Parts: sequence; C-alpha cells; structure tokens
Amino acid sequence: MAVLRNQQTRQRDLLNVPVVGRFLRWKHARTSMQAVLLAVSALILYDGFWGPQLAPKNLAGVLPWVHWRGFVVLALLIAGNLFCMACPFMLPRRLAKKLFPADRPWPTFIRSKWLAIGVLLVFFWAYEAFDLWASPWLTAWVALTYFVAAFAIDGIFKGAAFCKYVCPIGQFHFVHSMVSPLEVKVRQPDICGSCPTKDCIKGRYGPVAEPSLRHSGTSRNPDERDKPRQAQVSHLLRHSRESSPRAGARNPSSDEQRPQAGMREVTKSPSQPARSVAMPAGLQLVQSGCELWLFQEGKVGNMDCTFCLDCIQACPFDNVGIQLRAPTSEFRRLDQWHSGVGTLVKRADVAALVFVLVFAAFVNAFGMVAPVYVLEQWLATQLGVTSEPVVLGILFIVGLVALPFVLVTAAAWSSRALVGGNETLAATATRFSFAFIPIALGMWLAHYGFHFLIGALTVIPVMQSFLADFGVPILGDPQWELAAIVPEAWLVPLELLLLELGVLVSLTAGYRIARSRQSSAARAIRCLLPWAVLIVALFFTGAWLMTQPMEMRGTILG
Amino acid sequence: MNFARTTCVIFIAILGALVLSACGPRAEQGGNLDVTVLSISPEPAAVGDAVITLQVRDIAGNPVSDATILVKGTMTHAGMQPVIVGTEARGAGKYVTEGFRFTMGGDWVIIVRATFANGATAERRIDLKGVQGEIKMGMKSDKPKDGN
Repeated sequence: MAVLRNQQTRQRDLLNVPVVGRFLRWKHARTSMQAVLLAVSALILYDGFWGPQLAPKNLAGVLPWVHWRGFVVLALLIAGNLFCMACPFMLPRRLAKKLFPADRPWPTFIRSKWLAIGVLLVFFWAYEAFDLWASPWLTAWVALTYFVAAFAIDGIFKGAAFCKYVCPIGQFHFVHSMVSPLEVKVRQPDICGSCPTKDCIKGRYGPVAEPSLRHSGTSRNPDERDKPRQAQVSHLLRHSRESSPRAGARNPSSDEQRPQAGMREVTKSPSQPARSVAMPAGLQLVQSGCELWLFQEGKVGNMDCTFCLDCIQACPFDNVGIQLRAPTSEFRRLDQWHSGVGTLVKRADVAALVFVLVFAAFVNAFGMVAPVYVLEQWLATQLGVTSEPVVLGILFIVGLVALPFVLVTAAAWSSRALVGGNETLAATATRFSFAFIPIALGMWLAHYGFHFLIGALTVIPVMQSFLADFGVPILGDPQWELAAIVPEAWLVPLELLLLELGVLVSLTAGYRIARSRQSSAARAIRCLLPWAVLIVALFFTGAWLMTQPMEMRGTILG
Repeated sequence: MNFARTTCVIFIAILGALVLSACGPRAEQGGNLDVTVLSISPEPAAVGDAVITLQVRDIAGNPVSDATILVKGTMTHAGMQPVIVGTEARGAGKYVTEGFRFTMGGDWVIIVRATFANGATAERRIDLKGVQGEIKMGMKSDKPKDGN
C-alpha cells in the first residue's frame, strides 16, 4: 500500500517530469534562473536610469509593468511561486550572507506580516501617486531599492528575514500561491519520522565534497545512482513502522535538536529556535536548509514558501517533491499547525494581508479606468484638496483599509448571527479571509493578463531600439507596431472567464471552510451566505471594471 | 582580499555609480526639428478619430515642406499598440495626419518623425495630456480598450 501511494505521489511530482525535473534537481538550477533575471534587472536599471524616459520605449517601462506582472500571475495560476524561485534580489542577498555575520534575530515585535502590509500599502499608493508605470526612472529606483533592502536586511538578520517579513512582492506570491496547483511537500511522511538529521531545516554539513547519500553515486544512470538511497529509505521505513509514525513530527528546533557532545552551537537563537543548528566540529554548511523556517515534516501549503528548493537539495532521502494538488486543498488545512507559520486561522496579520491584497486587486484596476478620475475630482472638490497624492492617499485608505474593515466586519457579524457560535468576529473573519484568494487571483489575472496579452510583443521594438542606441542594431529597425499576441476581441471574454473561475473557486473554498466548522450542509450554507454575498459583489465589481474604458492619466487633478 | 569581499566592493561600487548617476533622468533629445501642434480636431482631444495639424520647421525656423512626416501616437505607459499614421503636406510646413485615432483616454505622446529628401531623419516629441475618455457605467464599451 505504501509502495502504491509512493508511486502515485511520484507520478504527480514535477521533479519526475523529464527535463524539467532533471533541471530542478540540479544544484545550480535556482542560481541559474536568478542569474537570468539579474541580467534582465541590470537591463532595467540601465535603461531606467539612462534610457529614453518614455515608458513604451524603455525596458524599465515595458518589462516590469507588462511582462513581469503578466508572467507571475500566469505562473501562480498554472504552477506556483515561480518568481520567488527565480528572484534576482536573492543574489546580492546571498552575497550579504557571506560577507556579514547575518546573525541577529528578526525583532520580535515585527515578526508578523504587519510590516509587509504597510510596505504593500505604500507601494500601491506610490504606484498611482507617482505614476510608476509611466516613469522608467522611478521604476529603476524601485528595483534598486529592492536590491539594497534585500542586501542590507539579510546582511544583518539571520535566515530569509527580508522574504518572510518585508518583501511585498513575496507576500503577494505567498498569498496567491495558496491556490496554485503545485506545492513543495514531503513525499512519504514515514521517512521524515525516522530521519535522524533533519537536513531540510538544519541544512547539510560536511566537507565540501561530502560523500552523502545524495552524492554517493556518480553514475549517470538514475537507477544505479539511487541504489544506496533506496536502501537507506527502506531501512528508515522499517524503522518508522517500529516506532511512532509521527515521532519526529515536531519542529526539530525544539527539544530534540539540542547540541550533542562533540558538537558546537553555530547559531544560537532562542527567538528563532528553528534555526538552532548544531554543527559537528570541523564541518561546514554545504547545503542550506529552509531559511524561512518551514520544517518540511510540519510544512503545510505554500504560505511563506519561496520554492527555493533548498529542502529538496538538502534532504538526503530525496523525500521532498514539487507535487500536484487541488487548488482548494489548502483550505482544508487551515486549522492545522503549519511549520514556520503557525495555525492560519489564528493569524490575524495573514488575514489582514489577504484582505489588503484582495481589495488591492480591485482598487488597482479601478485606478486605470475612466470613472476613477470623476471620483477623484469630486473628492478633491469636496475636501478642497489640490494635492493628487493626498487625494489618492485618502482613496487608498478608504479602499484598502476602511472599506474592507467595514465589509468584513459586517460579513463576520452576519455569519455569526446566522449560525450562532462563540467564535470571535476576528477569528471568523480570519478563517474566511482565505476564501477570497481565488477571486483576488482572478482579478489580478484579468488585469495583468490584459496588459500582458495586449502588450507582450512590445518588448521586441524596445529591445531593437535599445540595441540600436548602443550602435549594434542587430535586430533591425524597431517595429513599433508590434504589440498584442491575441485578437483584441478575446480580451473581455477572457477576463470575465478568469473572474468567473475565481468566483467559483472562492465560493467552493468558502463552503469548505464553512463546512469544516458546521455540523450540517444547511448550517454551512447559512454561515457562508454573507461571505458569498461579498465574494459575488466583488465579482460584479471586477466585471464592471473590466468592461470600462481604460484611461491612463499621469495628472488627474486640474 | 578574498573573492567575496572583492565581489562586495564591486557590487557596492556599481551601486554607488548607479546612485550618483541616477540623480536625474536623462534629458530627452529634441532633434533638429521644431514641431508645433496647430490644431487637433475635434477640440478638446477625445477618444476616437482625430485630425492633427502640425507646423514643422527646422532649427533655423524655416518651414519644412519637402519631408515625409510620420506621426506616432503612444501613451505614457507601456504595453499598448501605438497609432502610426502618415501625413499630407499642405504647404508652408503644414502637415495633416491621415487616419489618426485616439484609442484611449489619458496622457498621450505624439512623436513626429521627419525623413528628409537626403535621407536624414529627425524626431520631435510632443506631450498631449488629458485626452478625454468615455465613461459608461455598467456597459461594455463599443470601442476597443487599447490598440487599434
């Protein structure tokens, strides 16, 4: 039975897909992807600072706002958090880890998503207030700030503090990858239960050319190469059946990873015990474990997972895969303790992050349609304000903080009133926040997918122009007429389809969440009703936005 | 100095160079062409068909009447198909666009490209802010959102 289950798991594992799986198993796979994006970032920085300051003619105007945004939302839909996997900001950050001690624990009072929520709010406001989409120069500054922030923060603090607690792009991906079809997870929990080393979290130590199980075979034949590992896995499975199946399920950071005799503590961190690592004297770290403190054995879902694949590289038993799953499967595990995250239904900060991103999907799209200008003019007149950033600030506070707070509180109160129970409004809101992720992803897909589909080919003339400016017009004269990759008539139906998919998955997720707490289907439906109303209202808002004429003005007032 | 420290110095040096050199965006090249928009019909500019009348002069102020003038209309944001049209010369440096269309409300940039008889080219950029859009509450636009 276990063998059958193992075979099924392996069949649904991206690591077993020819070519792709082989590439992802390669130790330098992530670095190579990061290097490609670093080169692209260098182009963006160069053209943004020194190139023509007209966004449609500048790589900093085209690549981030048309292509990158389109690619990442499509990746979230069809795969998972691929941007974090190939994040270019991680290369200077890795350098910082080598250069500086990077041994300080992240301050306890900001060990949550609140700081990232603040950064996200500022970013969304700045995007509109300073027309980042129309300014290659400011776009380059944003990218440069990112590089510096990742370098500085991770040069000071241990682990991947920047990714986990600060990076707004990362938070976007963490949240929306909760409905992605791929998840990095353990293949056979039994093996982890008996694993003596927990390399997936602690990292693997040894001489540089460590003769570990993973590297013990030099044969290019996978079957030959895997023989020692298979023998070890068989041994562990036998051992695990004899002992408690979840004996090792606790985070190794707790009591079971105390330094043993002959070992020295290399990172002592009572505040972040998951990284408390005992290193045998004379050895060095040859493969990092998870730097976001997601211990594989207790890891649930994609929250905080950057798809860095360190755990896959570190596991000596090849017991971690990138596995296919149902997009709503994560919503069945909200009450489960998540390693490195905690219990999601108790994370008000995560719920707030989710709601900010949900409403931002609609406010961000609202910023590009004609009615926003009418509203802004009206607001400016009513308040007697002439400063556009101030008016936008008010709109963003209302749209991303006040309005969500009121609507969510009303939905939580109504839900509780319909079915009773003693759960607090905050707990109810936190629980149901996750049901909104699919409709949010649908909206982001409709919006960013629209820009990508109508502008995907614009990178060709911009690249032609870029090279021509360098005196190497090897790609010929810029063909500025290139733009869309699909007929324009497809766009609105496609956008509505994405929104419809989003609302359906959201309602399904909402029902699952409600059903997990209610004794009958009827009670679950009553419990869900206010949330379903809000989800459907968001759907109609999105549909209305997508059918509005687009308008892009740098100056709104006056 | 080990490799890591050398790399760090290089990285910080590049960063410093970027910061120092990025204190202001590069000035736009005007080219040796003086272009004035005489009129846009309809007035004010709005989404839909439009006729733009241009006055083209060289840097000495002399009307340019024997050039081929192409007009490219694009917006301040990336990702849309530009509107590229030819013009008809009306004498004394006046040119009128043929088949131009504002496809979206917002801030436009009109790029006028002149090709002279000797093959030389010159470009001039004109900012045209606040092309009026159309607002339809709850109705699908019968005009394209973007591109053509």
